[in-house]
Amino acid sequence: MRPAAWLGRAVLPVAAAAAALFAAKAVVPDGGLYRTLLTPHALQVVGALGKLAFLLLAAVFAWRNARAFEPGNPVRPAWQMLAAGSVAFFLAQLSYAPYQLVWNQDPPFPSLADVLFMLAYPLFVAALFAFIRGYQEAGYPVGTARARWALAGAVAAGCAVVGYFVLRPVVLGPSSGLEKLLNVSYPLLDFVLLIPTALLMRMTLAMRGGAAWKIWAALLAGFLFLSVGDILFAYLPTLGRQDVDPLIHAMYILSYALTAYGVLHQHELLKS
Amino acid sequence: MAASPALNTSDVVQTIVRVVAPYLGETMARSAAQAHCQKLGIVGDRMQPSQAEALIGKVGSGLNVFVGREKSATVVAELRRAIEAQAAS
Repeated sequence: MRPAAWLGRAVLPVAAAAAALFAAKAVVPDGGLYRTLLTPHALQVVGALGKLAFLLLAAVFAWRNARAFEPGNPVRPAWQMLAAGSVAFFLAQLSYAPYQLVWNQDPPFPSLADVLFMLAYPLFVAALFAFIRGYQEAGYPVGTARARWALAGAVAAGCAVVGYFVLRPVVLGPSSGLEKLLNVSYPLLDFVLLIPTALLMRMTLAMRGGAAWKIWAALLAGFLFLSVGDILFAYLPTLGRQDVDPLIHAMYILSYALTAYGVLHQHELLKS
Repeated sequence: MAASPALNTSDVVQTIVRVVAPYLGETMARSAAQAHCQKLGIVGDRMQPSQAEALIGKVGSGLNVFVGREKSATVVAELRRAIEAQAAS
């Protein structure tokens, strides 16, 4: 079996197991396993290594996918931007590694990592819009302009409602200026990301049963988990619910793993 | 295919769906084939071999954005064989 195929099969079971450890920690934080084997530091190591591995896979294989499409292919730049965004996420996560793996501390917030995370979102948004444009140029029915605007408007309206309830306490909360700005910016960027995600979701639903369905269902689910993770990250501290912090890690682990899964399956489709 | 008589449009579309569905799913394969037919002006029950060839070309170049150039060429060859066999039967 090709390495990419093997990795593609391994990614989701590994991520599901890691995410389950974090989710269980949120439910039974003082369970026996978490007092003996899965100490806070051990769990932090599992989370950090998992996220780094998934992001590295996503970045490397997204880049290889871009190279596998010939110059002039309309989706080549989209894969390049997805790769660049994944590299930015990987480097941001890597900057946390000394804190999480060596010093057994929570990484600082805000930090250099936030600059990299912030750079990645526009790349992801641009990548998804480039995919839509590429598929449209290739003759696939991506909906009329009117239908796309209507869907984008509906998503934006939904995000505005959710955003009001989620971001209001963040804005009114006690956090410092830059921290508050970032806690508001991440969900806002996610809301923007959700617009092309929704547009591609409609197309993806029409591909059920095909190899491309597996790729796009995973990639889009990855962006959805990222959004949920960011919203929880911004919202929960304002409620004083640090106990559900492991859930946020579970969301990010699933997000990065699903992205890696989608990217690896695209690579497999190109090379098999 | 050049010497073949006109082909049944729905048979050609069905063949395209059968060959392309493993990659794009049946719904998208059918939608794409029908959209290409529309753009190429293929209307009615019958299509000329030249129109079938143009349709195969469009399907192939469309598939290129999902499966890459090499696999797309393989699918196009398979489509051409299947449609030639259909024309001959």
